[in-house]
Amino acid sequence: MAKEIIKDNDNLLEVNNLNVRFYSNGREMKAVNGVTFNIKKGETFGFVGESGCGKSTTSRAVIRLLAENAKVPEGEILYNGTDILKLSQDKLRKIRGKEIGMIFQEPMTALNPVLTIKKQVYEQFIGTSMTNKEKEERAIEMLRLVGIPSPEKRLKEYIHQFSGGMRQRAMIATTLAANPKLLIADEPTTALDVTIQDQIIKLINKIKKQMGMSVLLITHDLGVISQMCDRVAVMYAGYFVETADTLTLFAKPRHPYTKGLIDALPSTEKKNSSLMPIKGTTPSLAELPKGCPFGPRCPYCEDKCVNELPEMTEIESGHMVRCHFSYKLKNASGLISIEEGEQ
Amino acid sequence: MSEEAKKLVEVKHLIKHFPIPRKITDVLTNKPQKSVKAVDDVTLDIYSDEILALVGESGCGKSSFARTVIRLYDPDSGNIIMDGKDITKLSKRELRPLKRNSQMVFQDPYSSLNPRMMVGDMLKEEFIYHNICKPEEVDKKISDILEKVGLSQDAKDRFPSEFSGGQRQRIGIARALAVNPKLLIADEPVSALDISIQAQILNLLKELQKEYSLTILFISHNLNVVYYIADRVAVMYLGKIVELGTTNDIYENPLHPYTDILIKSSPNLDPRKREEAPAINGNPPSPIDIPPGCRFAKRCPFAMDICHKELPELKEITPGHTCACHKYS
Repeated sequence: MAKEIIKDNDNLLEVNNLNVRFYSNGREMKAVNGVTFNIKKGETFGFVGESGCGKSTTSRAVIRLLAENAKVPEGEILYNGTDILKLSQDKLRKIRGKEIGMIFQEPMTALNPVLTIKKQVYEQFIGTSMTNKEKEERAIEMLRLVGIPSPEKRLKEYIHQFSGGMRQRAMIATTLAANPKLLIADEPTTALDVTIQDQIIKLINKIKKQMGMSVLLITHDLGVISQMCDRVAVMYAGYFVETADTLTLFAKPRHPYTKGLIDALPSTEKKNSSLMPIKGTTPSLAELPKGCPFGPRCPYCEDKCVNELPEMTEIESGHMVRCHFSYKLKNASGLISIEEGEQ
Repeated sequence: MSEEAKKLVEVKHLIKHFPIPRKITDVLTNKPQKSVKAVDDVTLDIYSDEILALVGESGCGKSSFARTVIRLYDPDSGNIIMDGKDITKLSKRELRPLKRNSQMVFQDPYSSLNPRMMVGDMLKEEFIYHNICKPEEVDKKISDILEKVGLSQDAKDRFPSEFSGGQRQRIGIARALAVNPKLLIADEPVSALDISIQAQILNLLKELQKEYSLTILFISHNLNVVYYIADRVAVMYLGKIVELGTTNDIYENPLHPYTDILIKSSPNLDPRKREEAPAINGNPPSPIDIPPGCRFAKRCPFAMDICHKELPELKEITPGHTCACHKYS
């Protein structure tokens, strides 16, 4: 019992059996299905998957930013022990932005184009007893932290006056000004060039360490996952299909979809090997198959997979897979190789 | 690439600048006209049957270069010799019969197809406009090309909106290949696609290249994709080619400091190999006011005095591997 309490305190965020449904044109879309995960303090947790797999929806559900036609019929989102789904709007406002901050792919649409950066950073201080001087000092400090040169001057500028990479930095600065404990980063580097992406990855890693934050990263890019995350969940059609620490996932993938993604990824690490695409396309969220969602595209699919949805099963400590036949991939090769005992 | 390989396209000292509209006050005070130097004196040969990749960051001029080569933009100066014929100065009318020689596949499969045209009609238009075959053979041709790119026959009677992103990119490829071009320009053809679909399209392009002996100019910012598909790679920075070589040369032995940095900034897929500092700081400078000397000098870790004064020439360092850097002079 005592052990369990310590474990609970370790988790900043705990999501249990989260389900999200969208309703449009009389159809029900099963966008998120039975998602369970936790994020420890100071940890970076990643969601990876292809477009429409529910990774953004899950992250938005965490701070209740879902569209009006969305419902959460089941689930529990515990932030430091309080269930976010049960909070009143007033109490929710105290968590959104202040405790859990969010950054997006497109700073141009996420930030207000008619307000200066200063105004938008100051919005984070509403409700605090900070004096104007303190606010300005803090704002300048934030801009300096994210590596924006001459912050005193740039603070008075508008977002369109910044270059792509600087916009992303400005957005990170406004979000971090409130000192959130959890940062949700939704494809933060997808719209950027490689050299700028590299800068932003390193910046988030550095700030995370400095501020002792946890990060929930959403991306479709396995390279970004590799460079940022401690643990990863692979999502497919609204389901978690595999979760593991980053190294294990890249070295010993045990779900056929994860393995498929890895085999389909062009990489300079793979010398002279050809790409193996995954056949077919992702299923519609309105007509998910009865059994395994990946079944129709899976090379190992059998009758059992068609009829019965596999459960998330722990195959090794911390390595969960949703597959009836994950043992078939026991000796499958990953993107990288690890020595026995190296973790 | 052997020396005897046939050159399909020869580009010599190609320049394409885009003038920036001047403010009225600038006109009155006689300020000089400024322009974006998108393509600034590029000389490049594209060999028959090769996949040549053009890599660089956004705004480096790779798309402008490709579009100028097939005369979608008119060059300011320089020469473009396509299949032995100088097409630099040809009029629109003279160019029309040559257009079937070079076709383009675009990045966004959603906006590059006419949403109100069925796929069959779209392809039919190509065959008839370019006089590829007799009208009675058109249906057969459409079936053939759909099969080649891996689409089902009923695709003919459907609209682009009924297809997924990967399938639309297949339609785009079918449309481009319908006229049997010699040169295919693929401008970021897989950037908008998911990984599993991306692999399908890359493999399709590779197969079709072999089958039709196509020459492909493949534009991409993704170095992993380029590594997989290209025979040769040209690296562009601010309107200039800074390095050109076989894919192996470029990745195993990058000569230009910028190429090296590009490769290092690509996220490493091994989570054990994490660096704390980024490979390079800052942004590429604006292509409007370009300082004299090497364009990369300001950000280059190896910059010497000469780099800020003199523009390095593209020189062959080892056979088939050229680089524009003062380090090698």
